[in-house]
Amino acid sequence: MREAIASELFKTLRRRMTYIILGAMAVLVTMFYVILWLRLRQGPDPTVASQVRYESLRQGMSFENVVSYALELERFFATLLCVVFTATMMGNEYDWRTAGLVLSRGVRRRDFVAAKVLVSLGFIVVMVTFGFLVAMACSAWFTNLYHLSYGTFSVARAWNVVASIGRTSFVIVPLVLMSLLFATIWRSAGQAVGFSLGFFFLESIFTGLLDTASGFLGKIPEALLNVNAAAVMSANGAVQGDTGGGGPLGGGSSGGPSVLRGAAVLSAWLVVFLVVSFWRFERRDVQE
Amino acid sequence: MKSYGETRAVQGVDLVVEKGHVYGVLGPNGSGKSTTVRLLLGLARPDAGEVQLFGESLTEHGPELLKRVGAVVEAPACIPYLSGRDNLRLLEKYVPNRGEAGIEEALARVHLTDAAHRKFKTYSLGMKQRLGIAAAILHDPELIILDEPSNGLDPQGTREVRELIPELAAEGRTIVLCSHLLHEVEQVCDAVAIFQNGRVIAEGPTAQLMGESARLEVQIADLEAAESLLRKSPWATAVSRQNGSIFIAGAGMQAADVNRLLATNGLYASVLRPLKHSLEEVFFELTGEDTNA
Repeated sequence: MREAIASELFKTLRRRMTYIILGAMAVLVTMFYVILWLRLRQGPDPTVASQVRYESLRQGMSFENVVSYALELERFFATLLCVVFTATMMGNEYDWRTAGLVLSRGVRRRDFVAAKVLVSLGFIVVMVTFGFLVAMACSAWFTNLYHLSYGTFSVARAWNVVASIGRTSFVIVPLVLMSLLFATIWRSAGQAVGFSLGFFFLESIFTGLLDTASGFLGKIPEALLNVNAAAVMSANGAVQGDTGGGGPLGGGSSGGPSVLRGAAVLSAWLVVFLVVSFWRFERRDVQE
Repeated sequence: MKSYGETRAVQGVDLVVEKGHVYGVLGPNGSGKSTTVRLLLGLARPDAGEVQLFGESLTEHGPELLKRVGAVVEAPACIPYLSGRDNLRLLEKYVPNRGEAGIEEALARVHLTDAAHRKFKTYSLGMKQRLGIAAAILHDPELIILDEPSNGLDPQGTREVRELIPELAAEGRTIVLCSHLLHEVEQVCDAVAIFQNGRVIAEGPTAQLMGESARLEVQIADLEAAESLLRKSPWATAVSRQNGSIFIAGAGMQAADVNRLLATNGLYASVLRPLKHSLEEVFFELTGEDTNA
């Protein structure tokens, strides 16, 4: 197992895609802050609603709110990028037939998949942390520029940052494992990326339609990923001064499941994806 | 047994390969030889029955058994963004053996040391094939399975591979060589199995397989008497006359025996020439494949 993890890390660290994905994260986060800055430079419209929204944006950009604001933003970007990372990590082994090369040398199938899962989980944490550092830098610059609040620096705040990064990483895991599962089933990176990201985008559309439904239909979103991820993310805290924007991408949880229930449902999905991935890979033909 | 849909790819294959021998696996496309290799390497799962390697169950002892095997299955498989050397380093990380020394030795053996720093994706097909062979021998395996190792190689590369195979066998390794190059198999293999429709239709030492259908050409003054005499001989299964020569076919027949028989009956051959079938002729005869195809 140790050998499989070392080998997977060796591949990951020498893979250009790893750095491209991290670079893409930095660019996306920076671009988002720059676009907000350009918007703030125009000043608020005369309407009250616009002034409230303007103030909300200003507060979101402040260093004081970087945890809740930046991590909500990151959840979206990191999910896209980590799904691509993991699906290609598994799918390419089929495309290049390197899975067969490795397994034919006596590497256990479960070790092969477990190493990929562990490196993927590690990459999610690295990705979220890296994106957060970029967001912190952007936020500090804007806070200085607009004389906003840095908040108070304390050990409790530092722990909150660590916990928030952990929560954000956790909500990304189920979709990443979904991409691993479908890369294993279809032996293709492209199809796994397509399906997982398709699910990611379409889920919110379909659950949005079901939000107003009653009975069984109304309960469906609570069993899926998006609502529960939002519930867990709500524990990262709300942006001070935000009056209902629900974070930079307008998400957020109001009246949804509790943090604990959200975490339980996500954990259940995570386990299902993991178990089926291992089971399928253990039994399937690696090369036909 | 292994099936793909309605097609039964492999059924009841039992190959006995002597340690240190080079064993050829021949068969038309779709005859089941590549599926057999995949089953042996644990890359495909049998639908029924059990795969055994070194006399032990692959299901029960797969990882331990496969550590004793090196293989190139179809085209060589490596990570395109890694250099040749890093690809071998990666395999060394998965299954540690002799470290950098083993890597350099494997690269030198396939004449890739100078190009080892280049990325795999920049390699020519022949270089990729050679790196595949280096990967197969890296962990010092007892059994090496080479599926079409000369694919894409230029004549020089093909010759190098042909020379490398007996060298590896001389070190006590057992080689299983799947190849479409019948001439190559005839040259390097001690024994051969011929596959058709997922089964082994012929197996045995190469010389024996070729010799089983050996023929002799006899040129002699008294054709009538010689033909009559040879038809009564115990080893001739077929005797025919063509263009002033007699052709005798039979298993285990020796030219000296024929010569002795003729001479003791006062008949003296002016020409007595063994006409051995090539492996190619044996292959096409057994598989019924069209030689012009």
